[in-house]
Amino acid sequence: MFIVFFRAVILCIIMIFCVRLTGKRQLGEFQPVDLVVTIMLSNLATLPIEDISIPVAMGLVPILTIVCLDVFMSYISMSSKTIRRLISGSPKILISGGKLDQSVMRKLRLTVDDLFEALRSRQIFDISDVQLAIVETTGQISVYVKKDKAPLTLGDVKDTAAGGDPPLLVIDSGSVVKGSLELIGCDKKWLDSIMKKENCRIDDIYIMTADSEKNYTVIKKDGHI
Amino acid sequence: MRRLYICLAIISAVVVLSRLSLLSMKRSTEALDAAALACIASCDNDDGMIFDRISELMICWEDYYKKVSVITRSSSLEELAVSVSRLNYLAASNEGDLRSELSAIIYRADIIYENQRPVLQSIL
Repeated sequence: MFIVFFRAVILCIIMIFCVRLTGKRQLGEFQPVDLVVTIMLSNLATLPIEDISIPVAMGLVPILTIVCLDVFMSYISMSSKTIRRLISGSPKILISGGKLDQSVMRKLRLTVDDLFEALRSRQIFDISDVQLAIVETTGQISVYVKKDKAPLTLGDVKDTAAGGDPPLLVIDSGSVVKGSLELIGCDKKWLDSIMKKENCRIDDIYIMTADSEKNYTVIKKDGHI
Repeated sequence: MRRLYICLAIISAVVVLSRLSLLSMKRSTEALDAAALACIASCDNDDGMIFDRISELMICWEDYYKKVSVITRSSSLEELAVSVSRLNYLAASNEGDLRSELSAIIYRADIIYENQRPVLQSIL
């Protein structure tokens, strides 16, 4: 049993590494860990059914081990940003202000066809219409269209001011996302003033988003993980 | 958090069951080895008790197979079963192969146990 247990642990870690290695373009909608777990479970479940020479216990041990590892990894990912990046990777900005970052394209091994396919599926036919495009850790491309190119909404009728960047994640589980803060043109001083206004510390914040027009949303921690 | 505790319980159960199965296998292997060694001693001394010793070995084998077949079903286990089934014939025909067959039983039982021990060589 120990052999099966350790083999399941080793194979699961190697599979996650391999899927991370293949990059975002292979994933589609799954996170790397989810994809590995799905692939491994679908195979493991059929083995003891097909091969009667394998004891049922030997079929159950790797299945239970992998499911438990998945739960452990999700909890570890929740508590540590470094491990979350290591397991799932981090989103990459592909287009910013209508300008395509070719180095990110090369890094992610994305072709122009891949990019245009993703844009066309969102009814966008001109890259310059895109304010921000982000390749998510799942491999999907999230697109934020420039305000003057976006469909009219009720909010636009009320406030017709030309748009800026979309709201970005500024505080993630009590820690400041410096890159986002710079992107929206704000600094630590501004953040401190908001904390003062909200009467709380950065550690107390679960999620805070803000945009370049200094509009922000704060969700405080509720004391539970 | 409840899901985390359930997973911790499952992993703990797997580890405990693995340890217990290994201990049970070790005991069964030792019992089988001892029975085989008693047969070899009876062979060497030619004390006329060889069939009694083989009967004792058969009882140990049945207990061993019941426990080990739940944990592993390797080709070594099948070879071991063949070796055990030949013992009565070899003892009756008074051929010199009986001693080597008993040694093979000890060797194969040890190999099966060693392959289940969580050492790097076995895992890889």
